[in-house]
Amino acid sequence: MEIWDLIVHRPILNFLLLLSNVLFDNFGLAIIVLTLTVRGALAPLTLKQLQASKKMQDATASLQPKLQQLRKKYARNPQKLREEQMKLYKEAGISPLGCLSSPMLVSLIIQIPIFIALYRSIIQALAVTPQDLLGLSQSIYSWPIVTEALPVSGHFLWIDLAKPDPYFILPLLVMGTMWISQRMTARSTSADPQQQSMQNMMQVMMPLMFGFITMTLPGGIGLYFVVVTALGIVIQSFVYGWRNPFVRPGGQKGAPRLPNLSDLKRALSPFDQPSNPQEGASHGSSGSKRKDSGRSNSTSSGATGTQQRRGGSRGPQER
Amino acid sequence: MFSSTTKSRLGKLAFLPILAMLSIVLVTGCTSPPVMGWSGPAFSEGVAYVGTIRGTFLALSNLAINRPHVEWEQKFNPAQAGSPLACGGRISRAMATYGTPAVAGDRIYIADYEGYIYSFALDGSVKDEYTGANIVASPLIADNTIFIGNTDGEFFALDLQLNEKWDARFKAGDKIWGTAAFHDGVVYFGSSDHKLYAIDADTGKEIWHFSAEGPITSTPTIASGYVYIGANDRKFYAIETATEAERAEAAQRAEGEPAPLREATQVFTHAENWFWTQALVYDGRIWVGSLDGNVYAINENDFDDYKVVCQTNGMIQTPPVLMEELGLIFVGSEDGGVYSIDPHGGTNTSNQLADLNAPVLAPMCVDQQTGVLYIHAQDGTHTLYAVDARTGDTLGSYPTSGEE
Repeated sequence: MEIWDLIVHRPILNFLLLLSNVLFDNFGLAIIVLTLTVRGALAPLTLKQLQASKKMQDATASLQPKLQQLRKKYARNPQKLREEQMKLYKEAGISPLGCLSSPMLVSLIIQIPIFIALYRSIIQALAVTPQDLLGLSQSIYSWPIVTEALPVSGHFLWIDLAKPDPYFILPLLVMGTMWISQRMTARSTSADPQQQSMQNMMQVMMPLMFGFITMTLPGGIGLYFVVVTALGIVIQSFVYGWRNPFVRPGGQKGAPRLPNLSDLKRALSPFDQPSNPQEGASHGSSGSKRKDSGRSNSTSSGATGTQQRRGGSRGPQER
Repeated sequence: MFSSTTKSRLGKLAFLPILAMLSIVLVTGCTSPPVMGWSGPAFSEGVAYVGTIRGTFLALSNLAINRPHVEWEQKFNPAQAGSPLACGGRISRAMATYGTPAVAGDRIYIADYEGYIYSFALDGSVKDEYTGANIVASPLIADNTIFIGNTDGEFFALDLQLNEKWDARFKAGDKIWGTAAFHDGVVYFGSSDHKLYAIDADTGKEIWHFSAEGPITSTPTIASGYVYIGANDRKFYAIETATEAERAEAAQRAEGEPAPLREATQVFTHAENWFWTQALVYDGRIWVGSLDGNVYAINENDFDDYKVVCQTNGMIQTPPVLMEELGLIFVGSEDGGVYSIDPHGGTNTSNQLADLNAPVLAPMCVDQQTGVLYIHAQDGTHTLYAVDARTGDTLGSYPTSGEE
């Protein structure tokens, strides 16, 4: 922990305070500049991660016709089907670990500690309570330029950086930017209705959750979330290109479909429940459950059903 | 190879990074220490008074004979504002008090973090007044007046019935966390705006201000015609006190005209961290602890003549207290130790009197008659100790957080 403090946390914290002093005692500007600096420095890694992700998505999408053929071919032999699917994935260079595959994992492992340090530094530098300030005393350098920055100015635009935004503008901005970011990387590659549902759920739930969290945290953290996500959108645009978030991944215009109860059920269904309805046939008594699941799929409205049909996916129609 | 089921599981693993990010937010934002406060005890007529982290004010007798008896316990008022959510609570929801009670006649005064000032009678009956913003400082009672500042940077004077005395509150540039000091009709206090203010106690008009290089969270000490104060810039200053002539000049000064800037007479620059606490002036030396864990004894007349008389393994944020009969100075440290310092000894001649195994963050109180130190240690379960200043033996203890 001391090495972490020495190498990552303290330099970031002190740089933040230094920036605050240099930028006319404006801590809001300091948060923005530091976030841009750190995110910019990590941009090559982020780009690599996004490129790997896109490559995998594209490859997965290109395999869909072959996967469908395999499903038809081995409809009565699930074991062989799995083997052939894995063989196909392997030939295409797709890792079944998805986004946890290298180099994405490496990229995440490097980025997450830095973001934790940045996030903690902002909380610590705001030093709202005496405990916070005492903690800060153990982390800042003895440089006058850093000491003079204290206490940091708590106001930036309409935001009191030390308190939750009473007007809820920041939570809305966090939700908006995060939703756009999610929509930009969304692809209808998965033929698995469970994964589709999960993707739909996350596109809405993630922004909502972060928006809710922002409502309860100091404005400085909300500002950080907004800047991080906005810059993330810019970086994503280099890989995915600019995309109208109101256009569904398949190309249809209109508001994206909101997740419904079926999506929630599917997304939260236990790990043990196979997502492929055809697997059910080989699992005896669990088959009836899967039948229900299939009906649920077919009745679910909007994009999921459309995507499944367009993608030629397996699912209720094939049953 | 991977089955479809395994694939499904692995697909769900894709959400691990998202969960990790959420965990970061929740862990770092919500599990940081909540506002706990550290109230030091006051002792009067055989009863110890202390604020607790449960948001109550406690009167406790017989602690020194290990038969603690709760004379009474009163609840502080509930929070005025703040989110009921855990994360918001960390920042905006107060839980207790940082202030140490002040006894004046038959009443005890204390302020809580919520911004209330309380006046307790000896039987526990209470009168309170909301002051408008969070309070970290302890009340200073002098000249039948209560002086205190709040986190909005307001400094004000109340009579003992808690009525405002000045026409308008004095407004500093930032938070006032430190307790004030009074001398010859002038009240001195520091602010997070880096300034030490000298204010006319009768009118609330600024006489002068001194500017440090960092926030001032400590309490000034006044002796030998000087105001001694340390700041969060690792420096300790000696500034001449305000004169009668300056006071008269301030009274004549037109509204809106800035008060003059005072320069320090001497500056001590050898500490390795901030000064958070009040100094003690005794025997020609200034005894002051620093957040670097050391207690410095500085020659009043020559700040370059100093010695480190006590080295601890934690921050020192408690003011040194003098036991006159023993001629010893005592100080508590974040490392849980209570140290005794012989003022006539050399460098690093302190002894560890007691190890409470709990950070000592609040000012200690000494009963000069019985030689007992009252220490409110902050070990999570928060305990009030009575320690024999001669032997270091724990004479009694009481868990103020209500956990046995």
